[in-house]
Parts: sequence; C-alpha cells; structure tokens
Amino acid sequence: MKPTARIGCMLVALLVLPTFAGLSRAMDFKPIPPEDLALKDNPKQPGADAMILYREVIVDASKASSTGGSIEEYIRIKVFTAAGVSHGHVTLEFSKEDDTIPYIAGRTIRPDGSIVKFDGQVVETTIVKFGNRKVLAKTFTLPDVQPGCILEYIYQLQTKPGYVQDLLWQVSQTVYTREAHFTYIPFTGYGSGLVPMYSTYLLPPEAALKQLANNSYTMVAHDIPGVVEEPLMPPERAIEAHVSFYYQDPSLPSAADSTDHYWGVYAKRWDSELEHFIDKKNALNEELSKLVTASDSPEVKLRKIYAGVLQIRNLSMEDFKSAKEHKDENLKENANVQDLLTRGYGTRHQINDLFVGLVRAAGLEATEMHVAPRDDELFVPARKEASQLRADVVWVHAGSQDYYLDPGARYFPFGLLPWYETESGGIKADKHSSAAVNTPNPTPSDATVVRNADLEVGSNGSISGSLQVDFTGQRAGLLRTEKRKEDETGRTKDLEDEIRSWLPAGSEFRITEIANWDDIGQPVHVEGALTIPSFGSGAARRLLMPLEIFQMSQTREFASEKRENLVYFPYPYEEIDDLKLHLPVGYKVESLPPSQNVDLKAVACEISANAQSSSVEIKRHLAVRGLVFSKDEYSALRSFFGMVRANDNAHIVLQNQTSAQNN
Amino acid sequence: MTTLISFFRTRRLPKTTKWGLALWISIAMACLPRVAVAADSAPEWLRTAAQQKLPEYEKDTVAVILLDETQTTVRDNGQIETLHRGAFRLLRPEAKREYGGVSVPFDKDEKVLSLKAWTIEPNGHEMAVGEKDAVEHGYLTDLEYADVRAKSLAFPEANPGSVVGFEYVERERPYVFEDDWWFQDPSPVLTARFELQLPPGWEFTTNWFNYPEQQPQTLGSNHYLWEVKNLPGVETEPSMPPWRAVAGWAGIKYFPRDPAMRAKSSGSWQDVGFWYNGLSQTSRSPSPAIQQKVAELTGGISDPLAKIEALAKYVQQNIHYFAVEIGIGGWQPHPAAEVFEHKYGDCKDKATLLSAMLTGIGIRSYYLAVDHRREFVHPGYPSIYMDHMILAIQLPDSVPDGALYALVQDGKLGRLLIFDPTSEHTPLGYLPWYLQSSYGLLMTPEGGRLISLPLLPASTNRLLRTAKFDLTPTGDLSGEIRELQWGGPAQREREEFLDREPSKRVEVFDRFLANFLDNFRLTSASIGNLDQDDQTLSLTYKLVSPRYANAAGDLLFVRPRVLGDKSTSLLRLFTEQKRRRYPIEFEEATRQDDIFDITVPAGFVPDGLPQPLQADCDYATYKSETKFSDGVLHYKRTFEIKQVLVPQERLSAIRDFLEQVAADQQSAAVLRRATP
Repeated sequence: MKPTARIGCMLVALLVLPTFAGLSRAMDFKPIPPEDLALKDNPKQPGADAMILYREVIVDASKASSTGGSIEEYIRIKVFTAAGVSHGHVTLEFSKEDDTIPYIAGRTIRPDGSIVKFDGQVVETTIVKFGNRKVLAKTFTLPDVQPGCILEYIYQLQTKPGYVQDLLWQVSQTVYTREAHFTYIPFTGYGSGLVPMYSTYLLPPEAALKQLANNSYTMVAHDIPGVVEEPLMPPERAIEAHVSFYYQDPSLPSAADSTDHYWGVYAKRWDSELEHFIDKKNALNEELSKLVTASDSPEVKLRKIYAGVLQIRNLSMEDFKSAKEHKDENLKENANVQDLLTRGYGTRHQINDLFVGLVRAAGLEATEMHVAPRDDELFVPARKEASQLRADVVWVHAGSQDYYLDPGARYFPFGLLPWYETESGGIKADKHSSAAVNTPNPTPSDATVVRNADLEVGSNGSISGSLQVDFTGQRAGLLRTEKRKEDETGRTKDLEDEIRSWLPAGSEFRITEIANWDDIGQPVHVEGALTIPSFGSGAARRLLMPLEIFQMSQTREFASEKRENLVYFPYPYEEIDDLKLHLPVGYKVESLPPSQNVDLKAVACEISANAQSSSVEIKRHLAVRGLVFSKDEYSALRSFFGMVRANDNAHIVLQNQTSAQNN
Repeated sequence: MTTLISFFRTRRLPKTTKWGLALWISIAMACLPRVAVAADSAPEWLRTAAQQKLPEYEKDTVAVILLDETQTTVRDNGQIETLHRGAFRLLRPEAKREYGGVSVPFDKDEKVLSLKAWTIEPNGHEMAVGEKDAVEHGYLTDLEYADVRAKSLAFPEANPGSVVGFEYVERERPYVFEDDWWFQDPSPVLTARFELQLPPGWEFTTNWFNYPEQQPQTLGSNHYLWEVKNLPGVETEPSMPPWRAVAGWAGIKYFPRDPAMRAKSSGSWQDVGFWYNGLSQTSRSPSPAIQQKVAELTGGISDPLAKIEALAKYVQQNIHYFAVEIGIGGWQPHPAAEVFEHKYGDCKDKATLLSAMLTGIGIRSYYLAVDHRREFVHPGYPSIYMDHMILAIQLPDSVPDGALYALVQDGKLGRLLIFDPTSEHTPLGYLPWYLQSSYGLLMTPEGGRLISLPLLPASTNRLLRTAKFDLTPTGDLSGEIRELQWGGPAQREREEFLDREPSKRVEVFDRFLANFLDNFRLTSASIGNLDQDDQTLSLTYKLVSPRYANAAGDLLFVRPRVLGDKSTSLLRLFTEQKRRRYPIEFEEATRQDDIFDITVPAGFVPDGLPQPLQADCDYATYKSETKFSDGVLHYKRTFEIKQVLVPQERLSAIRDFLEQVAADQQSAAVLRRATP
C-alpha cells in the first residue's frame, strides 16, 4: 500500500465547523491475535515486505447536507522486512477548504506484544495552493517500526456540509490484503433528485456488495492480491478491484438497468449532442465544396475530408494555455461547427465531430463512437459506467466498407487509429442502437521499423557506414505526436539518442536527414552515419561478428523468469532489417550461421545471412502478432525472445586469408 | 526504506529555480478562475534587456540569459531584502520546459514580498502575470517533511522568439550571513549582476570560484556592484563533478558591525564550528532510557571496538530515516532522547543519538559535516552549507586499525574513525563512496576544523567472481557461479536486494544475467550474509544457457567472459554527440576479478584463443588472459579503478582504455572437434 492515502473524496464545503469535539467515531483498535504477532511471512503470497492484515473503511455521507460527511479508515499492517518499515510513514492528503482530519491515532505492536502508542508530531504541509484552493497533507511516522511489528492507525476525515461526491473504494492495494470491510452510508436527502448508484469491478468472488435496510452498503473481501508492477502489463485500472459509488440524475440510467438500456440512453444522448454541434448545414456544405468534387468516389471524398480537417488548428495538440493566454489570444469555446470553421480551431473531439458533419454532408453514413482508450482501461459493458469511454473516434460507412478514423489524433494517416483506440470497445452515438462495438484489430504491418544498413567492417572489428530507418504507421504516428513540440534540432537529437540506444555502448550515430516529417501519409525516414568501434571480436586468425547490430529491447522486458500479470503488448509490430556488411580486405567468410525461423504464430522471427563475394547480407524479420498473452504463456514468450536473441548473436566467422595461408 | 544519502539540509533556500514544476502549474492553472490582469506592460529593464543583439550561438542553444540580477540590501538588524530579476530569450521549444516559469522558495523565515513576470512576444506584444496567478506548493516526500514551499509563475506564451522576465522581492533574517552568487547557467549568460548595500560599519568578503576575481564598482557608501558578461553555458554531463566545482560563482559574506551578531558570520572554519556547537551542544545528552539501552547492547562485551560496533549497528538499523525539518531544524538536530524515543530521524539526528550512546561507553565523538557531492566543499571558503552529517569517533588506543579503513589521523584528537550512521549498509570501518576523497568539517569544542576524508583503496571495494562451467558439443553451457563482495560493490548489491520484496529478489539475478546471456534458466540462487553488513556478501547461483556457444561445422565459438561487464556503463559517459567538456568522477577505487573455468566437451581442442590483454591508463588497469589445459578453458581477468577523478585532458585516454576493454570482453575462443 502506498503510504500516501489520497482522501478528500466528498466535495466542497460551505461552512466551517467550529469544533469536532463531539464527533463520533465508529472505530477503535482491535485486539491483536497472537498468531498475527508470530507471523513471519504471508502464507498465501510468500516473500512480501508487508501485508494488510485488516482494513476497514466507513464512509458516511448521510449527513452531507447538515453536518457533513465523514470517512473513517482503520489499517493494520504486518511488516515482514526492513523495506516494509516504510509503511510506518503515513501521509494523508486533503483539501483545506472542504475537509478536516480531526482524528488520527496510531500504534506499533512489537513482535513481543508490547505496544508503543503514537504520540508524536503530526505535521501539516501544503501540497499545492492555487487561487483560494489549497491541498494539504498531514504526515506522521509511527514509532519504533521494525520487521515483525504490526502497525495500525485510524484516521477520520470530516467533510464540510453542503455537497456530496462520488466515491471510489480501491479494494486492491499495492500489497496483499487479508481482510477488508467497507461500509458506505449514502446521502439520500435529495429524495428523487439525486440517486446513489454503484458499480463493481474485479471483486473477489465472495465479496458481494450488500445493500442493507437503512440504504447503506457493506462488503467484506478477503485475500486480495497486491497489484504488482511489471513491464508490458495491462493498464492498472484494468487489473485493480474496486467499487465505484456515484450520484446521478434519476433520468439517467443506473447500474440496476439492463446493459442495453443503460448504454442505449447514453448512445442517444451522445447522438443528440453530436447533432446539435453539427447542425449547421450551410457551413458544412460550404466547407465541403472546398474539399471534394461530386465525381470523387466515396473513399476519395473521405480521404479528402480527412486531409482537410487535419489542417484545422488542433488545440488538444498544443501546450496547456492559462486563462490569461486564452483571453489574450481571444480563444473561445466553439458551440458548433460553424464557430469551429470560422475561427479555424477546435479540440480533438470537436474536430472529430466536424469530420462526422462533413462526411454526412458528403452523403456518407457516419457517427461518433465513444471508446475506452486501451492505454488506460478496457471496456466492460456490463460495468455500467459511462466514464469508461473517455475517447472518441469516427465510424464511417462508405461504399461497402466500414472505416474507423480519428482525425482529432492529428498525426495518424487515413485508415489508422492510434493504437490505444484499436481493438477497443465502445458505443456509437446512435439514437437507435446501443450495441457495444469494437474498433478494428491492429495488425503488425501497421507498426513497423524498417532498417537498412550498408556497412564496412574494419579488420579491428569496427563497423561504420550508413543506416536508414523508416518508422511506419503507429511508430510514425507516435513519434510525430510525441515530438510535435520539438524543433528540428530537438527531433534530431531525440532520434539520434533513440537509435543509439539500439546499438552497443560506445556506438555513434549522426543523422544526416530526416524526411517526410510533415507528411503523415509517409513513414518517418531517417538517414545517418553509424560507427560501432568494437562490434567484431578477434579469435586467432578469425574475426567473429554477431549477425544483428541492433540490440533487442525485449531483453529487459522478459528478463524475469517469473510473471504475475498478463503480458500486454500495446500493439503488434514488425522489425524488418536488411544489413549489408562489406568485409575487410584480406578476409573471407569462413562460416555463416544457418538461417533460422522461429514461428509460434503469435510471435515469429526469421533471420538469414548470405555471403556474396566480399560482403554478407543479413535479413531479419521479427513480428509480434499477438496483443495479450496469459501468464502461462509468458515462459514460452520469454523463451522465444531468448531464441531470437541467440539467433541474432550467432556468429559470422571471417577468416584472415593471409594468416590462414601462413598457418 | 533504504536511503542512499541523507540530507543535512541547508537552510539557505535554493536559488530561484526556473522550472520543474510544470505539473503543479498545469493542475493549478486548470483550476484557476479567469483573472483579468491589468497593466500588461513590461518594465523598462526587461525591454532594454530584450533589445540586446545576441552573439552567434550553437544551434542547439535552448535559451539565453539576457540578465540575471540580484540586489541585496542588508539592514543593521540583520534583516535582508533581496530583489531578483531575470530575463531570458527563448530560442527553441525546449525552452518552455526549462525556462517556462519562475519558482521562488520560501519558508517561515523567508517571505516573498512580491512576484511578477512578463512576456514580450516576437511581435512586441507584452503580457504580465502576478502573484494572484501563482501556484504555491510544498516539497513533501516519503522521507522528509520540511516547511519549505515555493510560489511558481508560468510565463504566458513562453514560445521560441519570446523574451520572458521576472522580478521578485524576498525578505529574510538569515541564520548565517553568507550568500552564493551563481552567475553561470546551462544556457549562455549575457549579463549577470550582484548589487550589495550594507549598513554603515558592516564589512564583506568575496571568494571567486571557477572564474577570475572581479572588483566591484562602488555605487555609494558601502554600496557595491559586481558585473560579469558573456558567459558560456555550463551544460550537464553524466558523472561530471558538482556544478559548484565547474561553474563560475562567488561566495559573499557579510560581517556585522554589532559584535553580538558576529556569530552569524563565519570568517573561518573555526567560526562555523563554534556556531554549530552553539546550536547542537544540548542535543547529545544521553537520557536514562538511552543509557539503559546502551547497557543492554554492550553488556557482556569488553572489547571497546565491539561495543562501538554494537551501538553503531543499532542506530544504523533501528533508527529509520525520516526528516522533520522546520525552521532552524534544517541545521539543528533533535535531542538524542527524542530520536531514541521515536526511533526515527534524519542524518544529524542519527549522528546525535549515536554520539550520545557512545558517551555512555566513554567514547567521545564529534559531528562531521560533509557533502555527498565530492569537490563541493572548498577548503578556502569556510561555510556551513553542506548537506549531510556524520560522526567522527575518537578511537581508544587499545583499538587496532585492523579492518578500519575510514580512519583519519587528527593532530589534536588522534585517530578518528569516520562513520555514517545514515548509510544503512556501510559497516563500521568503511565510508560510503560519495564521502570519500572529500572534506568534512569536524565540530570540536575548540571550533570547526576542516579535515580530508580518505579515498579507500581499491582492495577494500572488491568483487571476486569465480565460476565453473561445462560446455556441451552443441554449445549449451551450465555451471555454478560464486561472487564475494566487500565495500562499495557489496553495499550497492545489498541495497538492490533489500529494496525488493524477498519473493522478488531472484529478479536481481535474472536482470543481471539477461545482460550477458541470450537464453538462460536460473536453476538455483542463494544470498549469504545479506543482513550482515560487516560480513562478506556472497552470492551463489547456478544456470543453464542453451546454445551459449555458437556452433559452425566442427567449430564452437565460446566467449570465455561469460558474465560481467566492465565497460558498457562507463562508455555510455561518452555517447553524447558533443565532446565532453568536464571531468569524469568514478564512484570509488575498486578491484574486480573474474576467474572462470569452462570444461570443454570431450574431443574438442582449441583452434584459437583470445589474445591476452594488458591495458593501462593512469586511472585504471585491466588484464585478461585465456588458457587451455586438460580440457578446460581458464579465463582470468582483473579490472581495477585506482583514481576517481579523470580530468578533462585525460578523457581520451580513459575512453581508449574502455574501448580496449569492450573489445576484449567480446573476444571468443574457437574450439575445434578433433575427434569425431
């Protein structure tokens, strides 16, 4: 568990309570079972620094309008190692305007059962203050925390009256939780005006949320594994168990409604918002007339409109602007497409809406589709929370084909969605349908790095020459997005650094040209001069060189033999290399490694070397075709990348003919 | 939580930072009400600065500091008011990240009286922001609570071509009368000024570093101005010496007229020591509870060194690092009794408690103020501004030197054992690498005395890796490796293991092996003496690596250097496209040996072995050789770093050396099947 607890989830206060002397508390420290004191490790997840033995959270919003709401939390942690001692440092963040923390109690129970009560200093500091808003933190350190100790603390946070706010029970913590109790008493004082709702995600099987007669909710959960960070893991939100409570207008659907009904209402609502924004036919037609001709085929029209809206100034791709900068530049909120076209700027979402409007004006079928961006979470329709769908793309039907496009993403060519919007679930803005739809699956050829090198091998094992790299599809789109605020000097340095990181230590790479940077339809093409001082190594009269000059990034990702999470590649990809090595004078090829082709379908790699009169050509093609792999498949993946690396490092053996003759 | 370095925090607030707070600003700005800012006109000084013609700079220059101005006015009561002005011309987009705003630290002893900032866009349009646009934030971390906060302002439209500027006024009553004027920057500086107005009867001294001394202009009575112009940028390079050792700066001290206030001025190291003694003299009294603990820990031990070890280990391992530094608390330690009761504290608290406990066994000890940045302390410039506190323990004559390497012979106090109770895994007798070959200020009752801290010899920082491997005819390798580590390597390895949960410690082996082996399986691993910092750390592990050796017909190519890398990380110090301008600092002197035996498959004989290599430069040596006898490849190499500072003029020599090592590491033995 992170020592910092971010609380303050109840809302803005209207009044300051003069005192909390009369505040009631539900919690007090519980007796310590001797077996917990004796515990040396977590039997269900051995080898941890610490575990939460017991956690209880009571959130009471029932008096939110009168005396305010409260959160009370009790945490008991067993410390197993010296690193686990850090759990004794606790930071509680809160909003100065809205919250107070009137009560903190803590104690450390030593392994021998003796208790050291916390009576030290609770210090308060400013985390951030802006305008009249201030976020503070109370921090304290429990005394005498050692491995073997149990430490526990209780705090109460009181919110000021007048508001209620959504609440998230974060059931998963970064360490294992043996037992957790949650109670929520919602605010019901609005009668039918605001209704408390909830949704759950990934709860342990027995952790059923119960609604009691007094409208409160309770839940007990056991044995919740900690969230382990690993490379290539799914987004954290997708693997953390939680319960989300929220209040909403009763006219909106609730978690109690059927899935179809829930999403149907939102689909209709989004459709209505879209219709409202694009309801300026004259403006759309006028703009369309500048972009397409009547004789254009549907796809050509679509492409031209796509290219046209990319020219609109995309505010979402610019630096954050302060209110002053907005005012100074006279930037205004666009109410509709006419505003957008007149002013020449819009947000990413507005540009997508304009695209829908223009496509429809061209006589094609199109609508907006709200999707869950895969870099953040995975769409689960049964989890009825519209906030899952935080991104939007455009669906178009032209000719006999469906297209999914996101011109608002700005740096991705026609036909290619950013990876986090591919294979993503979502709901179309549609007044008639609420069916969940998936965007197309990405393919490896959508994200390639193509490397061609023409290199001279020195008799000392050095290599030098030219290298050309083409970043296509996703790779190019991501590069252009990431470096969009850089100038040419900055881009050049970043790309040099990146390409140098593929090479052995001590290598040099200087870019001589970057082409197609502004033409998003083309790969980003990089050319430069490469030197690797000690690539080949001498072995008596021979010179040995690995086949591949580029080091595998996957080595680090698959270094560990153990795996806790799924393996989740952001997108499938390909690496295509063609390297020509010119041999030093006096050397000939003694042996080449045999061609290798390791094909596990979801991942594959082929490498071959062919000798010519005074050169060797190496071709390599790596394809990662799968996106998600189970924990059980990790070992095979690791082994695959190990084999690829071994094949990359297989030796070309050159023989010094002069030395050989003398032998 | 393991801490590498604990900070004896200087109370002088950092100089205005130009940025680094973009997140806070963006969060806060998003929430700010829309404010109308009146008087969007830049001040005349900024307009004047903006009109300067720039010299030609390299095309990657991010920004130019047009003006960096400090006006310090000292009152007779010791209060100081300072006006700071800065003007930057932004040349490239990166400038927004690095020069996009101004951040002014303050605390309860220092107030920000005003803060304004402006932008002059390339078209001449001027914009202004003021204090109501500022964001205030603290510096809370998991390991430290301090009352330092900062006000930050973002320059509007901080885009290439714009000139941005700021002005703020601070008022403070400092604990010491000392100011550092840093007039160089990573970007070039056109003009830097420091103006000082002292009350009548006050005096000052200046010390110039990495720049020729400049004489001030006299502007009036006790009113002076220093000005420097056209300074090149000092760009950051990896493993370079601290900024203070390479960039130009001046240390300015003020000496009050009133003798009662003179304690705040340190003309000598002795003065600094007197000042600190006054601040800390009551902290080290052992309470009855401490005395009881000392008796418990040392009862039954007669050897004085063993007693010292017991107390040192107790403070190292049982007092957790957590700093609470409010006001003077940045310098003043908490009383030993309080630290003992809470079982946590910062570096000076841990030193204080250990000192109190040592008193309990009749051993005297002294605070030793140090800085973790080697070359940060200038012997000719007495100052309390150091970031760490450790202890110098006066050893009784009966204690032999033995395995105590962190010894200093003091003319007055005799043998002093230097010990850092904050460094969790540095045993008594050793000194963390970042404090070696440096200076420390010894706080004695007779005042302060600057002492040199030794560079521990390479033989104290050892890694000995031995292994026995078997190779199959198809090139598969299997074997057992044993590593013994002392000193610095052991300290870092322990931190790496102990920072992980026990169940994840095997990943340390996995990650290490993945650097050298394409395909491997760790079949067993054990760690010896992980928690015994004063013992040799031992790692024993077994592995299988399919196709380790490359087969080609009847030949097998095998790299005898199976594991270990002595060049890659060091060669990366040279991989920036620009030629290095500053020296390289290695962490420590060290000797590392690899001794591997590889039993080759039956019927194979060597067809070529790597040439032995002996590479030497003034700072390091490397020797490797591969021999074959009785069916076994014997590989042996020794790598030693002898000196830790490589001056700029010797960088090419060290690079050549490292490239030889890199080439040697790749070399392979060729085995030929002699019998079918």
